[in-house]
Amino acid sequence: MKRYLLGLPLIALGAYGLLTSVNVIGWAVWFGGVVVAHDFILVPLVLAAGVAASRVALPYRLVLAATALAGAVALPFVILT
Amino acid sequence: MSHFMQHPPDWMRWPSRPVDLYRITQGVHVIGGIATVPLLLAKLWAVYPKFWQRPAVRSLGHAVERGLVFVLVGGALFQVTTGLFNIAYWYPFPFSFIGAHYWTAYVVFGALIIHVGNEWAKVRRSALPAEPGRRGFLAAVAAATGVVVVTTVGETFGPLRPLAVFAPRKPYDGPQGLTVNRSARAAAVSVPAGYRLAVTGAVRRPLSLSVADLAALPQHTSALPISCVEGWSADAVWTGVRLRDLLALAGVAGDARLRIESLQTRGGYATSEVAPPHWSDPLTLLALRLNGQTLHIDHGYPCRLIAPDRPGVLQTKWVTRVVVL
Repeated sequence: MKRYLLGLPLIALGAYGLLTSVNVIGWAVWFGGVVVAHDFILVPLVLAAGVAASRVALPYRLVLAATALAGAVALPFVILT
Repeated sequence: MSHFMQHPPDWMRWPSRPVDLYRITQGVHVIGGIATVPLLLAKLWAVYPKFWQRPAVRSLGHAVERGLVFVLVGGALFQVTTGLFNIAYWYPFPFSFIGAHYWTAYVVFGALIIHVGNEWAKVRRSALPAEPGRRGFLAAVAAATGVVVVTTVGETFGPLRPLAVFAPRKPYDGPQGLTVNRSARAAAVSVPAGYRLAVTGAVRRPLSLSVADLAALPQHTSALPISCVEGWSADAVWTGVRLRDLLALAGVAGDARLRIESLQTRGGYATSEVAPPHWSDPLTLLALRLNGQTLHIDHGYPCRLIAPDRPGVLQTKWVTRVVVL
């Protein structure tokens, strides 16, 4: 129970700040949007890539995965700056 | 921390030392955020099958728990996405980054405390399983995290600068060996021929000084970094008039607050406030020179504020008025 007494007021404080000082509808669209983008677009794409890469031997597959992961983080910097 | 420095509540007094404090806290914030991306994606990948669990909801308590997991996942993805776009200087969202990123952090921390509390017993039971597949997965995640940190941290940590190939800013690329976040052209600033710096407001003797007048005052040199909110930082050597000398000349109370106004008229950072710890610090200058040369217009010619332990956006450029509040 203690965790709820600690956690819920923090969530409420954040919600109060968002409601009073942020375009909360735009915020909500992005908040839900990133979850949808992750769960229904990114993960299925990664699953498909995993199937395609299943013929690659395991250690190389891990190298591929690590490269893709690092590349995904660096991508916005490379394209946008 | 960045938020409190830029928007301090009345009770908060921010120190001007150590000089590099903001540089370090913000560097850790941004590089830590970058390192979080592979970790977060890996964490969500590992629990993704649970997203499709049936029945989706077993009880009221379970519904609350899953609802809070949604808040945590949404908040965490929101923070890393908006943070990453911000340091790439891309703002495709219909809300202000600063407010949204700041307030969502409370939501994430709250949801995280509850989630960790709920899962703690389970984590302790299943510590360190040694399946080979999991070990490889963890190694790949660790490698990706290491790569993104090593290729970006050089934007603020000098010894790793040559490796910072993915850093969004090269801190020493720009006029006079220092990068520029917002050029004079981008800020629509041009310096009028009869430029003068005014010191006004609650002063005993208002001042109005030309560039030559400023250069005739005692000059001091400070080695101070520009530490950007976007995480990069760069060392530079500044020469100019101590702000506290100028204020002593004008006759200002020791506890006064200042508003520094720029020739820049648009944008949220055309003015900045300076509290007593910063303006009374002997390192704080209205700088006329950078790295031995007259300030380039993109660095704030005729003069700019430079103070220790202060976010770069508040080191106001093209200063035209110092208003004592």
